[in-house]
Amino acid sequence: MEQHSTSISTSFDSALASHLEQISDDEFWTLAHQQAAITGSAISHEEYLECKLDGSGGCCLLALEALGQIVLPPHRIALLPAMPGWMIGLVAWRGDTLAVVDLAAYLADSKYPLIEQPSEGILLVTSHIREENPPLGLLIPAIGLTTPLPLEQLRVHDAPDTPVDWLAPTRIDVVRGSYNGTIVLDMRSLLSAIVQRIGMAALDE
Amino acid sequence: MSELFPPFDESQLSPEEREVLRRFEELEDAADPASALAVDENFEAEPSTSSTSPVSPAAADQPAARPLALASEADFLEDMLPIFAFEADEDIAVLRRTLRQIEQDDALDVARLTALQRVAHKIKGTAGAIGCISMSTIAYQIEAISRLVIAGTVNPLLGLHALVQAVVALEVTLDGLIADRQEHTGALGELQAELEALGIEVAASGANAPALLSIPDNLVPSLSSESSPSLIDTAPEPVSARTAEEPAFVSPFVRVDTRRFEQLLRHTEQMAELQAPLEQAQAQVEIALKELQAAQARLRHLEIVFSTVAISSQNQYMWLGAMNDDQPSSSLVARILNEAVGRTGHFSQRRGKLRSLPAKSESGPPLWDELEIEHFTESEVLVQQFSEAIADVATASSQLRLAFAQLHDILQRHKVEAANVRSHTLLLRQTPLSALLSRLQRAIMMSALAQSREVRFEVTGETIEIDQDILEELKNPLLQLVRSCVLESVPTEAEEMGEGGHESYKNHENHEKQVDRVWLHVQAFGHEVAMEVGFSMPVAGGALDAIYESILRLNGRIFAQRNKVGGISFQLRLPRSQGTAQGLLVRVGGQQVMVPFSQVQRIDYGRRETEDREKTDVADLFYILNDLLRIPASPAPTSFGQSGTGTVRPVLVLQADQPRPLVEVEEILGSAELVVKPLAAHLRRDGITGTAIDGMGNVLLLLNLPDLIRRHRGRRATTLISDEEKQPGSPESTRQSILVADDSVFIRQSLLYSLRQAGYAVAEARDGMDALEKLLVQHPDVLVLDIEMPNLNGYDLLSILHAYPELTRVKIVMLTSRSSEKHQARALELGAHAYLTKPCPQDTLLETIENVLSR
Repeated sequence: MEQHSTSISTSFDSALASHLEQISDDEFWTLAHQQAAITGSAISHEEYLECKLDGSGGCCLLALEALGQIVLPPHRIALLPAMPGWMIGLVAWRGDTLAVVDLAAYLADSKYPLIEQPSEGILLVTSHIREENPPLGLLIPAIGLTTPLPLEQLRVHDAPDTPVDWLAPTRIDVVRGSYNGTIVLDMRSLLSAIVQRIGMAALDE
Repeated sequence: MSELFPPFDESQLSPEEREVLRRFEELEDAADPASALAVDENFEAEPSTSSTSPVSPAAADQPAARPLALASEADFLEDMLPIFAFEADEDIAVLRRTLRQIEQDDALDVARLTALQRVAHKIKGTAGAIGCISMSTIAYQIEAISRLVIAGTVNPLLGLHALVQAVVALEVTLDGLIADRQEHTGALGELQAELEALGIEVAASGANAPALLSIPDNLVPSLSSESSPSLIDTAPEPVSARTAEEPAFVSPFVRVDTRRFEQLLRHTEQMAELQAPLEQAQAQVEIALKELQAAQARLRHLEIVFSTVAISSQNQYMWLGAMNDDQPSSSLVARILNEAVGRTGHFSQRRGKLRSLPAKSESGPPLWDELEIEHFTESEVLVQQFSEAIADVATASSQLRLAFAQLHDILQRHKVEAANVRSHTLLLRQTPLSALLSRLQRAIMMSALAQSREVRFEVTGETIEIDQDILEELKNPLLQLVRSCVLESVPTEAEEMGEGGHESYKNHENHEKQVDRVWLHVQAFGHEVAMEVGFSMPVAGGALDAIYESILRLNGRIFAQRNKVGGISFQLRLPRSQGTAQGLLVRVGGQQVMVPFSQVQRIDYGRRETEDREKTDVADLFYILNDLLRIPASPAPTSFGQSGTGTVRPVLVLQADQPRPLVEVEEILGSAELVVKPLAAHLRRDGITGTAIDGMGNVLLLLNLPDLIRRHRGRRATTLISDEEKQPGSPESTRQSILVADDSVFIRQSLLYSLRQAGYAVAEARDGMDALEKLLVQHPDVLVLDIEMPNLNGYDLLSILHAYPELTRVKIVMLTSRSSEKHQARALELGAHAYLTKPCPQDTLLETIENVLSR
């Protein structure tokens, strides 16, 4: 019995364990086959972090795997010439320099940061998703719960069902889809776009 | 060769004949040892690597000492040489033609490379037959490089350059052969060096490569004598040419100067010697701390006792109030009595006599005498103990301060030595730029241009040192830049037409009979090194392609400008190392930034310079750092003055020729030496060399004030032009302008006509450099740009435009005969807005221009 339990460990809990103890071998194998059949979709679960973007309830979901650290923002932020309006500045991060971006301001394509006091927000430090995408600091007002998101339930489309005031039309390309009405951001697109726009700001000055 | 000259069989000679022959050989050896060394009796049709005889470098520069054949063959060779030379000359011409065709192709044409292989193979055979080792080997190099390019082992661009150099070497060797009747090996040696520089290892690249293809060291002796002692000569060369995907910094070793290593060792030893004094000082501090703690403990104990005495004294006064003045001398007695009162409710009457008082000073407390301690009250004893404890604390504090001072002193010395070790370690990685010179010189001298004209190579500042990794990264791109520029004489339009050419072309034409100049001027600016690679003549387009990416990887910058003699100069700015920087800490907009000492001539607090600037009418040389960085000024008043007109702020007087630019800053906070790191690509900004992080976790921008000023002036010029354009009634305000850059007069004229007919104001540029100059002056709305042009081609111009923010609003329409997708993708990647191929219908062009203007 125990030797088979690992195959269904993704949803293993005590209730299931006691149930497994009580069923017959035939029933067990039937269950095992059923579980094996749905293993593919079970693996496709990804943990997402709810990020609150403003006081009016705007929020989005970010893939946790794309985030390296969630920390309080440092008080010392240096300004960089020719920054986009939604960029807060530079902070020291593990001996390197990290660009910090007001996520809500970026998504709204705002010409200035929306967070008045950066020290009151939460800093999400992204991990290296791809070599060309250096880590970034995404500053948000607050975070919510993490949600396991079954990908088959993610509604993939180009635009949200109902327009949201915090998402500018020019930022629609970073939306991966929606889940229960909450917009899920595509981290690769988001980070690539931010990095590209920060770089281009140097040319646009 | 073996068929023509079968190996001589000595066994057929009689003993007498053999003896005579031996004597002759001895005589010959004695008369000309160099010749004797070079004679290869086993010489066959193919050049051989079997020779291990050392040849002195000096001998290598001389015509090859080995005669073409033995004396008995001389007549035959004399007859054959003209025939061989004529045939080889024709073959070399075929090679040149084929190479030129390959250069003009959009894509790699394998058929042409195969043709190259065939012709080279033929030369290899015939040269080998006639006994010309160098020519045979060079021909094999051509054959092998072509094979490597076809196989994709060698980058086509690098391969093409190598092939050009090989054909030049072949030609030079043939010329020498015809002129001197002897084969020179110098060109082969130069070629070998070039291949090494390009990272093309011919001998190891093909399984079928015959042994003769590994050029023995004695054939390229000049390399060791010409090359400077640098990593270039010692670091392992890559097996094949490096591709763009490979990491930039590949050198696993650095070459270390022995003198510097010894200096580092000495500083390391000095730092190690400080270890014992440091430990001793730490121990002293610990002892002093313990003594202080003991003194403090005693003081605390006395405090308790004092509290007890104080309570006792209070009770004593109460007791005295009841029992008159019969008071116990001991607090212990007083406490016992006091407790008894509390317990019984009665005051007990204590019998005793008044103690005799100790001698008192005339005024003040009694003089303490330990021998008379019984005469002092407990309070007096306590006060004395307090005094002693306080004195102990003072002494311990003093000792602690002293120990701390000693520790601080040693720590300072340790810090100095640590800084020395760090700086000397960084110095170990530095190498003078002169390490590049021999290769650059070879590249120039072996160029086709140098074959037809005299080219002079001038260098200044070659002793300036730079990090070896940076030099390694720069080495090949810089060589490529020079090679590309002097690849061949540019057939300029002015020369072709003989009229109305650009000033530089006129100059060039006038000076055609004179000397062409290539120069490398190097200057150090603190953390950076500025290099000017200049050419007095027009250069081939596409030169920037080789170096632009490397410069970006090195966090450097590159600009192009026309120099005083009418040619082109490429200005490179590179970091000297990725180590530390020393500079002023300056406050701007509430944050700290760092200005390298090397950029500041002095600091002016009295605004003397400011007053001077008004008198000398150089107001445009006065800048405010906040404006340069475009960071809002800090609202807090500075420590040097008050807000308002009376503010006195420090002004940095920059290092420059008179008049010196002045930069006003909010406050100077001090100086520091910090480790500077380059910014990530997306964070790079002109005027920001890198960032440092101080001990408080602040991110400090390392500024390049001259660059910031240049950018600021560019912005200011753009603003002025925009304002002028907005002036109502200006006829040009409603008429959009287009600059057409194409080296074809016909194309330019037809475009000018069409675009003017369509209502645009049109200007023309005959090459990339001309276009850049006109862009900077005219700021047109649209640039119609060709790719194939001399003096910066279209790609070069697109790349370099990134360095000019004032030109970012110019829309660029490529109009070129290059139709392949890769060209289109490259142009768009570099910033072009639209891509059209020639011939282009007029309607399509106008429609495209309208489209890009409407974006």
